[in-house]
Amino acid sequence: MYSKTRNVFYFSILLIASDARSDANEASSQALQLFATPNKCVALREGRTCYADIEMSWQAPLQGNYCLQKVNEKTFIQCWQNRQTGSVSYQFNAKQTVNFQLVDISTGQALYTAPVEVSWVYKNKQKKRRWRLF
Amino acid sequence: MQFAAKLILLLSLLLACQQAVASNRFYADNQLEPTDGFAWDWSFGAGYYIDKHYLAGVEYDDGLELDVNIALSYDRFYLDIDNSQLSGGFIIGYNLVDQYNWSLDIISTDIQDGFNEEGPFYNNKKPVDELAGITERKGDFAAGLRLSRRFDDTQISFELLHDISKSHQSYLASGFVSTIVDWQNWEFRFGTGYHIYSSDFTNYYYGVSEQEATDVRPIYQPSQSFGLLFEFHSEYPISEDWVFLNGLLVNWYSSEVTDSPIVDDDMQIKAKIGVRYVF
Repeated sequence: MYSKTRNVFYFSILLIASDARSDANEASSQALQLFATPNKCVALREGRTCYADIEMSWQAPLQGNYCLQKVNEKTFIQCWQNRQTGSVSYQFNAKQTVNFQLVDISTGQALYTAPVEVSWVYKNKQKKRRWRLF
Repeated sequence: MQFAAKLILLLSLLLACQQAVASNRFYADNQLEPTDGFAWDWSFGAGYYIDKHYLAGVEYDDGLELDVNIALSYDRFYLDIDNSQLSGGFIIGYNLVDQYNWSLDIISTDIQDGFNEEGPFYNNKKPVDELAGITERKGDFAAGLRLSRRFDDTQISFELLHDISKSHQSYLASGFVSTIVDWQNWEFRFGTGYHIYSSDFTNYYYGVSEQEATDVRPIYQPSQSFGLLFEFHSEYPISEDWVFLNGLLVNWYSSEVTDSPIVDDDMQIKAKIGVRYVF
């Protein structure tokens, strides 16, 4: 009887520990993320500007002041104060893949990057040969 | 046509693949120009069409159709089979001059569809009482010169062709203006053209001979006629491989055609909606 009770107790401890470990992993994986949905924009022809409505969403480990911007651009698309999560609708238009990043304003450090890839249906233009009449 | 299909297959098997862009001779981005060596691409698609023909007794026709589009070029030779745009068709050509946005080409292409007493060959709603007893009009295949000039996304072209098949065996001249407009991820194509059909052409397709004449179908011998066309075509990328497309083609005909006893409308309208898979 004693042994059975002890086994149930140990088993419960293991379950709780397992749950705790699982929660910790989940928290770690969700600690800091930046998503673009959709993360691909398809234009008809190569070289053309691609247009898409993109939903950018993010999640940080701590509450703070964060801004979203394109990599290598100084202007911010949107900023949030005292927030741990956020999202913004963005009208994407670009001729090539663009990387977005979430910046921690207090440190100026880019925390996470998410690309929006640009591709085309008609990928290659046939190379035209120009030749002289005379 | 069967020979051309075999030629395409043979070239496809023998030569390495190099991706090109499907083309249509009406538009400024057509690739029917000199290239370095061999280039080709192909695509296939499916769509739903609706067609109001101008022939007497031919009602609205609609249905599903499968399209295969092939563009081949080797140096100055090219072949283009475009079934996705309503103005498309079969064209084989040779570029004589390509200079300062001007092009002069020798081309051969099909201009006019044939028909018989059951209406156009693709007509699904048979029989057609109004055409009963007429002799078959064969589709043509014409060859000649095409002169074109590009201005960015706009193109003007003129064609002077002569039928080399056993149909009307006469001349026809055409002029076209087309432009391509982008908006967001859409591509819109607008084209308009003017045809001058010889009296032999008009008489072959729309004349009524003594043998064909009945009490309600008098003998008819028209002279030279004219036609005006307008095309709208748009495409939108669904994914990296699939394109959504739709189009509208309207052909108006002059009184020499519409006065014919076997014609009951002054215009033909064809509309299409579909998809295309691009390799």
